[in-house]
Amino acid sequence: MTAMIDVTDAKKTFTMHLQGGIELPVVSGVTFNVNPGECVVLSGPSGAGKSSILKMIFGNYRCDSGRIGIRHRGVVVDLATAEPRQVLNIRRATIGYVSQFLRAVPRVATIDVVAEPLIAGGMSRADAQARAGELLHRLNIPERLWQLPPATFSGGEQQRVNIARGFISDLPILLLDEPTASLDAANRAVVVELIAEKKRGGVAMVAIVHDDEIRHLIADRIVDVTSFAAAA
Amino acid sequence: MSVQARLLDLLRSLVAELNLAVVIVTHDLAVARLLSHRVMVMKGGRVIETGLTDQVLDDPREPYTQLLVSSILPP
Repeated sequence: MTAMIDVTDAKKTFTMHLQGGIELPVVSGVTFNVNPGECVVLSGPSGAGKSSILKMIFGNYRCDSGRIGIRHRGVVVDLATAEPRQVLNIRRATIGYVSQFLRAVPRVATIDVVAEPLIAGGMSRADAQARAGELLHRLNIPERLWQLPPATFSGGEQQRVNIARGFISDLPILLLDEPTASLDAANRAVVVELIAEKKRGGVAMVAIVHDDEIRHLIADRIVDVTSFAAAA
Repeated sequence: MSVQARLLDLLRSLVAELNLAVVIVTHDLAVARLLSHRVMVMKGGRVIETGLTDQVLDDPREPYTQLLVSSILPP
């Protein structure tokens, strides 16, 4: 089987020019792959570099060296050396990222925040809003909130809007950073169900979850990030 | 601020609906993040760093870019 994500010997260091140029090693020798329909969970203590690895796979952090192989429209592209416009194309068609926090454009209604990735992908506004409504409904966001911008919502509500936005597209790769962190049991169960549906649809996923129960429910494989700890 | 917000909303919808190509000059990095796909950081008449907007703002490499990013007060 051909992997959707193939990370080889990736390395990341921050150079802090405002602090006298000190080097802050984050991770090195990061090597693992993810197949279609598989959920790999990154494990390791806080500060071990789990989120940094997700950001490197999304192209949000640049790599110092190594390779981030992404299968994009049938061709393997090295995201670590891809041009910005190609990274944008890969994000539009291949990689979705669900961060811990919602970073929505202000003044946009919740239903449109969720529907936006589908509209950007060419779907009509009405169809996209219908799909968004279904997901918001499943995630227990009451319909009376859909026309409001999510800025004033509670932390858990904002996270569910974020999850709806992240799960609405049919992208073949999803990166999940603590998708259940501030959710109650009922909503955690919905997210576990959504992840299972993505697996059946052949989506390759990399997730960070601290909750042992959730990890047990979603992980097909666990990659221990402490083995990628960069030498200080 | 409310006029700025309306202008930004207008600009965003124009770019999306009319398929415009836009170059915007700003000191406001929140505006840059909201509106732009790519960023070019200039200093003394030279482009010193370019890339995806989120990459440049979240993982700035050049000393001057790091200074710019670290100068923003969180709202």
